Amino acid sequence: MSRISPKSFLTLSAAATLALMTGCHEKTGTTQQGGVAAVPGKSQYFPLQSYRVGPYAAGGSGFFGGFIDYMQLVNAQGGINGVPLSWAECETEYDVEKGVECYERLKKSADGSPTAATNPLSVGIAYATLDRSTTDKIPLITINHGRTDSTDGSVFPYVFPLQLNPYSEVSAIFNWIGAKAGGLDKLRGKHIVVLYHGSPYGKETNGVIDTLAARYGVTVDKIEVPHPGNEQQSQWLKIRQINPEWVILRGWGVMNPVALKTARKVGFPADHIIGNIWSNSEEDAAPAGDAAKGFISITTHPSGTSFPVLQQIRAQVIDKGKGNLADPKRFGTVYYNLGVVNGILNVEAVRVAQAKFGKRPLTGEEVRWGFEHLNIDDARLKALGAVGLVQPLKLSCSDHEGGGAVRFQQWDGTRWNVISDWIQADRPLLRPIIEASARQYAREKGITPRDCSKS
Amino acid sequence: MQFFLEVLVAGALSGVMYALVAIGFVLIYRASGVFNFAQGSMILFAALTFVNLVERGVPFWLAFGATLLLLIAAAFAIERFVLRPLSNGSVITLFLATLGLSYIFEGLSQIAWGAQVHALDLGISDDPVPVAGLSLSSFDIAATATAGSLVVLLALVTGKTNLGLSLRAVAADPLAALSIGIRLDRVTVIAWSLAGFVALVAGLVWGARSGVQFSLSLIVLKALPVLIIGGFTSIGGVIVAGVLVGAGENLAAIYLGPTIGNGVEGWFAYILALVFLMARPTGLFGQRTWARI
Amino acid sequence: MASLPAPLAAALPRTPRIRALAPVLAVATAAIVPFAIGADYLFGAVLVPILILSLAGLGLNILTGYAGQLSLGSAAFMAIGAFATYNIHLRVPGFTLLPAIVAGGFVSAGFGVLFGLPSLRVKGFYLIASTLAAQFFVPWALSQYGWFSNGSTSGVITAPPLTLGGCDLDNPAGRYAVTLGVVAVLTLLARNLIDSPTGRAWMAVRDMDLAAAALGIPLGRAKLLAFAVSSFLLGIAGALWAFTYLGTVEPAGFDLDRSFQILFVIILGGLGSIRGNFLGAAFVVLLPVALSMIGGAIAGPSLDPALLENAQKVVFGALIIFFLVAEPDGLTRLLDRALPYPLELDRPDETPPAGVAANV
Repeated sequence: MSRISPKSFLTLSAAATLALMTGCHEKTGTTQQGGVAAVPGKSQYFPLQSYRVGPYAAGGSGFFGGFIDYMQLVNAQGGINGVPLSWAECETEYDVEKGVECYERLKKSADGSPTAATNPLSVGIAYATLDRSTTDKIPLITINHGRTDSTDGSVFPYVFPLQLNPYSEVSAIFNWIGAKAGGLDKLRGKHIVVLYHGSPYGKETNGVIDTLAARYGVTVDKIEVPHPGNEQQSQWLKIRQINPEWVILRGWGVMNPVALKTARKVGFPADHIIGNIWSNSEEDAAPAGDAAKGFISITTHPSGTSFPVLQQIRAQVIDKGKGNLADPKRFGTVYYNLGVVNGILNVEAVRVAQAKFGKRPLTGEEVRWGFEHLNIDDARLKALGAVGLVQPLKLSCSDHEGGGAVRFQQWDGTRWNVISDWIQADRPLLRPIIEASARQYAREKGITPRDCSKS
Repeated sequence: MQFFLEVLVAGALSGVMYALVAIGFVLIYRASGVFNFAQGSMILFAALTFVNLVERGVPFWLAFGATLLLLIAAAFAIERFVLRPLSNGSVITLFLATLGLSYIFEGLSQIAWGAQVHALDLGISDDPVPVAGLSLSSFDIAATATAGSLVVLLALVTGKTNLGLSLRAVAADPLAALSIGIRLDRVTVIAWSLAGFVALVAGLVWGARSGVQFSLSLIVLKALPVLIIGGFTSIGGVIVAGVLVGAGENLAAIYLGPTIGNGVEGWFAYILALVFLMARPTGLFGQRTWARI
Repeated sequence: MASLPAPLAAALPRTPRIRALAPVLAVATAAIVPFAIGADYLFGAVLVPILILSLAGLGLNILTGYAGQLSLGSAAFMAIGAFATYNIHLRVPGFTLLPAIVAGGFVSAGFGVLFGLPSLRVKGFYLIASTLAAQFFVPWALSQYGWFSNGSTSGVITAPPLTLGGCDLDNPAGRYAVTLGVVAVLTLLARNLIDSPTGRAWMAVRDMDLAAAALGIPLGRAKLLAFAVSSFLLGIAGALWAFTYLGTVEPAGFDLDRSFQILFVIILGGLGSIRGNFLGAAFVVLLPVALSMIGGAIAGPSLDPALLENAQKVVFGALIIFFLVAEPDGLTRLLDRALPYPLELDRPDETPPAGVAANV
């Protein structure tokens, strides 16, 4: 193989580097630009730190598929009061470092449109970009996950764990288990195992689990599965030895089907495994085949395509060939629908903010106000075509979660079937813990909490 | 006591499955002197190709054959474009080339077949069966049997056939083998194709066990300590090492775990390998090398 | 004046020579030009990681390029440095940021020696067992025991705002300045160390350890010293990674992929070369960005991001192989052949012969 001429190689790379530098300087460095921007600078911009590759690709591709499809729908319907939406994607592979790099690269749009919010769908990336988002005044949305104490908006004005924070998730599961046992007081002396993903997301709830366990007199064993979780034999052998009443699976990505398969291998029944909000999708259960039958999980929204908003997406986006999903069969699955819900909430926040600040592209600060004043009731849900898809939500300065309720569903081998009504988390119990943690953070960082009564 | 034995045996069976992965390394190391880090991505590539063909309706054996053909083609390409130009390279250079290869395999697999998780059904149900009073996984037993037969097959091929003789000759002294007329490039392609075959079998076994998805390529990180303990050059050695690593890891996770923390199995095999290495610096069954000035 | 230990004496700057001009020029350029361009993205997402990866590459190069001990655990030592710096800065009174970083480096050096002990007995490729053990054990320990991350539920540490001597450097330009300063000083020290008898002992160990032993060079001490110095530099690189680049770190950010990244830096840049580390780091940082820009330019908005990402992997892998085949001595040799007068950052007899043999 002949050697390349050093001079030409160096000239080429020098030229490329120069082009890169000027390119970066003019901020044309976006991977993927989407949406309608009829006039440059006049759209509402959403940077997307997405992931479609790697061990968690199933979740990422479904979620961002739904999110983008909903934004396409809004644009097809004329935008938000005439303001079109635009977005740009950057692959993070669920990696914190890439997530930060993508944030820095995408936080300002290429054409000067103001940035509405970031939605990284990753606890690690959320932690890493939390301070930056607050300094840059761009809302950080962590739907159904995130840093639990960011529920207290007085300390975390720019962070929103919409719908369900991790503490609520665990508390709701405990409440349901209690109901199944005939009352929370009947839980005393029972044994539960929590199998969690070895990552910041997985460990987030260890403290509150201990609190809840102590309160109800339940013995809880917390067992960790190292990332990515494709080998869980020793964990499940241990579980079989403990023989608990329930296993709460706080998994993510490939850990979920492997857990179900390994449970079957050691003979632990699938219908005593409860998956949390990130172990609840078709992509989590289907690859386990038979072993997943009977597996229970929680969800803030059902899967399914019957909702009016999804029908609209099908008619105005997918049938027109603009659908974002690579595999059209995933339309209406849990992760896809979560993306749609996320889209609905982000857009609604902008709409609420526009009502106050004017029907134009809004800055991050203004959109933040919009999120904080989200009030989605049944009437609004009907207008959005999302009754049954989104739970009623009311956010405020001190409550950036707004919901805290889940429903339970069970896998029958082909689909999820809802098996319960809305189960609420024990928010009064959790609130003091959240506030204490938020205050501690405020002390460490030297932040003065806002006075929510004035907001 | 019963629980202890179950943990031990279950671990040993997993260990044999690690060894299945490690066998591919040994084959290539013996033929090309290369530590082929791409073995893991070859497993991913093989499993993804197979499962996607099967999902599209291709019958089992046809899919198997087609995947094998692809791997053989890859072996040709690797010999021609990577190994031949680098034949004078150092060990590190070759290792890094295989690292580059692993990136190529990973990228190509996911471009071609996507990033979804696929279930792989080999027709063996994974229920616990009672064996000698212990409750063991039927799948693991079947997988161990597969690995065992593979070892026997490979031993027959290398021991009894002319091809095997060539492989051993190349492993012992490539220059001498060249000088008596053994076609080095052909032998290399055959060795890599054999390794591809092993990768396919390992891919099927592991894919059925934990689903076919991206982290399948990470299984190579479990095979490394097995290789180090067993020595890079002995197939039988890696089986023994596999049993040691698998059983040790399981026992450590269950019995050491409560004291020192969760997730011990992430590093235990490596510390174990280190301990063994201090006693036998070239692995339990590896070839001792002599260095001279 | 009491005599200093040999390696320390060797590392301190000696009388200026003509050769010293070239690195000074490089540092001056690096100190002036970026501030003139002044883009946040340039500082925060391009230059700082390039500098830090160069430092990490330098550390690994000392161990693998000069002393010939293959290590796959570089990221683990970065992790030790990062978390040690954080804890010392947090818990020990009187340790402001810079002293804490140096102290973190020393802690990492200590662990480097620990994991380097097997090199006294094990040779060649089998040695990766030791550094791989470090690679898997260290992040586990750091995330398992909450003490290391000061009780944070998620095991993530957040760096305090960057202030040095009262002046607030907590902006991209300031972080770049701090990183540049630290890396420049350490590179100079390392360079002097490599020039000294210590460095030559390392190269002897790499090239022909039996002959070296026969000549009376203490093999064990040389190897352990290589591990120590290497881990010191890696530890500081890790601390910088946490404090001046990302701002938050979790142990999972220092995984095997990161170790491979550093290995790529030194292989692509050139084993046994100092300027090679910078070239390699620039390549590793800029290539994915360049590929995604090219991909975006070619295919435009209809490009599937997953396809782009995987194509990047393939291109990266192919480029690695291409470089290894076309120029095994890395970018630094390419640079040498292209320029009329060599920059003389390395003396000719220091770059190893084509295809470094790492004692196998």
